[in-house]
Amino acid sequence: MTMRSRFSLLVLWCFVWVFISTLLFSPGHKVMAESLQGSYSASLWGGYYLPKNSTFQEVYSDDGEFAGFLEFSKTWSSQIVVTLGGGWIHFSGRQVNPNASQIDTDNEKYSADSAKMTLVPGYLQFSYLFRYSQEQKLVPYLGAGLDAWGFQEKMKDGDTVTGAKYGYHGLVGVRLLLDWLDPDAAQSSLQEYGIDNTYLILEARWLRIDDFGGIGLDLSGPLYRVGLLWEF
Amino acid sequence: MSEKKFHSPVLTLVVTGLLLGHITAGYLIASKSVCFAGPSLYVSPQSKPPWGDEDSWGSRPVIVGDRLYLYTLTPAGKCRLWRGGPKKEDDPNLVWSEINLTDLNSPDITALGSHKEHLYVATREGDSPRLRLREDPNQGEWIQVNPSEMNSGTITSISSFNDYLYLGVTVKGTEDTADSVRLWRSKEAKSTKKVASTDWKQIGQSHAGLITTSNFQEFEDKLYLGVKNTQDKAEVWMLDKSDSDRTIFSPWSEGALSIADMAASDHTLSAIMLDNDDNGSAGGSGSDNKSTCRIWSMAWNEANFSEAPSSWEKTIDPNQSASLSMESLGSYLFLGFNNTDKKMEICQAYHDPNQVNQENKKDQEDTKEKRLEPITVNDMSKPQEQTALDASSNHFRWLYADHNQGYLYLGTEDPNQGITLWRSNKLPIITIIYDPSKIDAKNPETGKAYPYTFLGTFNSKVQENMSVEWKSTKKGSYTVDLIQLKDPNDAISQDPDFSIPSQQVDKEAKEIRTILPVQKQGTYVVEIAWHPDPNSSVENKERYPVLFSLINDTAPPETAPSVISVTSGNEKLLVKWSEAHDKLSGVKLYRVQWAQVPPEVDAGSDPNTIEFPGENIHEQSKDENCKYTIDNLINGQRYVVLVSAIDAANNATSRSAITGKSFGTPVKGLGLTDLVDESGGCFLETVRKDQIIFRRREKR
Repeated sequence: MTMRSRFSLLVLWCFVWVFISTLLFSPGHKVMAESLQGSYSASLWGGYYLPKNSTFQEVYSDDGEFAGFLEFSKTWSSQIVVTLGGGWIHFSGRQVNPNASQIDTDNEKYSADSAKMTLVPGYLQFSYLFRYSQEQKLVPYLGAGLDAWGFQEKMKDGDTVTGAKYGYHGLVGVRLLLDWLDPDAAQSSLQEYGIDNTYLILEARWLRIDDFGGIGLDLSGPLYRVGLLWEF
Repeated sequence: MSEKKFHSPVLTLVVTGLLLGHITAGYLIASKSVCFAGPSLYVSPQSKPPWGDEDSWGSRPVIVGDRLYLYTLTPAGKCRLWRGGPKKEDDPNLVWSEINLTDLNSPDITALGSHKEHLYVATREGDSPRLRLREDPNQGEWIQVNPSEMNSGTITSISSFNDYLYLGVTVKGTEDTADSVRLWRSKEAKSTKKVASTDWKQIGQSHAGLITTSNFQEFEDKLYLGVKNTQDKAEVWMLDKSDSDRTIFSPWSEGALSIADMAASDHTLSAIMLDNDDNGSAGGSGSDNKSTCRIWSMAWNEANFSEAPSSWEKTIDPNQSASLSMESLGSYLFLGFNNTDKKMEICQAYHDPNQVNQENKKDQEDTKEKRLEPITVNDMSKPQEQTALDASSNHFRWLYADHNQGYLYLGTEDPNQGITLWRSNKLPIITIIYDPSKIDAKNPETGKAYPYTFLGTFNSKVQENMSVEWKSTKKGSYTVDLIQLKDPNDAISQDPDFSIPSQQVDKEAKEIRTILPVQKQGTYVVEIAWHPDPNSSVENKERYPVLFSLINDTAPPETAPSVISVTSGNEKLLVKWSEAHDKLSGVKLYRVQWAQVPPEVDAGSDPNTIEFPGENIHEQSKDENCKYTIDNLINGQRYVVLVSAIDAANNATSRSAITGKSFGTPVKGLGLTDLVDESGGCFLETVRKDQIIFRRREKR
């Protein structure tokens, strides 16, 4: 088992543990949220994207790359969340020599020229929060969504190819309410900016971005990320 | 054959063998080398000095033109300014006259300076610092030229540097404020202009501290000053040619109290550090009545000061610590002080040519180490030069060097006999004339600086004559001898192979050119020395030899480069190669050559059968990585790429051998979208339509 697989399993296990334990110790529906009206939220994310396609890894390495995201959400009944999000990911790699092992036996596999891939993910997703009160410190959630990822590959001394790939994703995560760490700051944020709650979020998502099984570029792979969410 | 004094071979065999344990080698080396006894200095007192017996020294003299200026203090504390000059050339006695200061209302002189053939006198008149100048020092009005904003403090340092006049001013603190140092520089650098009171600008800010050295020291195009900071720790401040603020050096520990003096010789700046001894009595009156001075030095290629060998440490009389003085003359460094027995001691740091020859050290740097040894100071005025200057009654005060004439001046003070100015006999101070760009020459491969003044790397196969140009302060007969020859493996040759017959120098400061019969490969250390007439009474230890080095490299680098890989790109090839090595002069650059070749040319082909077009060549420094991208090639054509290395003496290796790794065919690479047959789409089309070249590909 590779390091990457072990890391993925560890993250998955953490999420499952937090998810189950929160459900077990949740107060139940009888202390349902005081505020049932809709709210809005914004969140900033940073994470690690690990495309699993072997050809992708061949050109751009299998180490993954940093991914940044910005999301806007609308929450109903404190539990149903619809999110519109976008992000940016950049890879640098080397072009492959088409004549490797054909002309000269010692010729290298890679070309002397570089290649750069920029991904611009966009998605619409639905999540369910296991939240039963406004003061609940740990809020597990799960969800799924549809993705449209723009891509642009620039080859040094060559062409630029641009396009889009479509797909879907599933996700599991947990929110950690930060307000209780500093109630005064939380109160101040509420009065000055109208921020009801601030959460630290850990999330894992599994992406299938291959035009729903079509040919060409396959951007599928796991994405692990952490974010800060402000609920208004 | 040169006129050399040889050791007795038998005596040399025994003594050198016992000392070094290398009897045979010792015999060969010593019998070939020039005998060099320990240093000594001959001085004569200035007869009938006009100053009174009860006067004491002010500070060190200063030379303006061919005149020496100094000031003394009467017992009543009155300053007297003196001018001395030779009545005729080579007259050991200077004729002295007092310069009238009466119109300055009995000033306290605090410093003397020379700038563009003018004498500048720093004074304190009342509570105000003044810088004075007059056209003719003997008559006329003393013009006040200090900065008009300068209302307090004491000018302690005056130096002419980079065509500007620099002032160091210490402002004594009060109960509420610390002592501070202000540095000033004249604004105009015009050669004929005298400085006026409006022509000044302050360098940087006023900084807390106290100037401890008697003057600035110029070294490698920068100016240095010793300062004690408010925590009683020594600092060296550096000023460069720009107007930027000082740079501070202070690598020593907390016990380093002050820099007493600085001097520069042989591309090295040395500083005398007065250290705090165990009971904290440095510079004061400790119970054990002794203190330590240590020498710190910084070579031209070093970033900071480092401590000299412990053998350079000197124990001094703390009550006389103000009399520590250091001067350079050519490549010689002189240190003067009063030791704990209240005796004057003069030491000299020098390269001992015998030591260079005997030490079979692998590291070239090690042989550059100098020795600091006490020298005997002989009074030439006494019969047969037998009686030494009385080191116990003559208390040392200062050393001063006339670099142009080759004189070393010594100021002593005796409670019974008053102050005495001593001048050495004219020393044969030799200056090697070299290309300044060579001073920073280092072996490109090892990064090591070459020993001594480095003339450069030569190739006797290419260059017909290797020569050295030099001048000396003294007329006479000079010899040029090979002291050491190290082969490329750093082993000392047992057969030094040249000694040039005496050359006559009939005019001081005249440039002499000596052809060096250099043939063998290796690093040469050569000595030029004044060689006294064997019939004269002048001893060998007065030779003041100077050492310099050069490299003769006639062979290409021992390890040639080989091509490691040739990577294809779009109309380009990226070639990488292995490092070459040249022990002697170091690899200077690599030469890359390429040519289109037919399929018949393959691994094992002879590189010399391939014709490389003249334009298909690239040379790059060794400092760059061993790789190069060849551009503007034709895709699909087969190329061979070969590399050769060139050393600092322009010896080139043959082209690298042709192997399977030497070939490459430029070709356009494939990106991820090519490999997965992705044709792209319209997602970003509307966003960046004008910047993106859209490519539609046929499905494979």
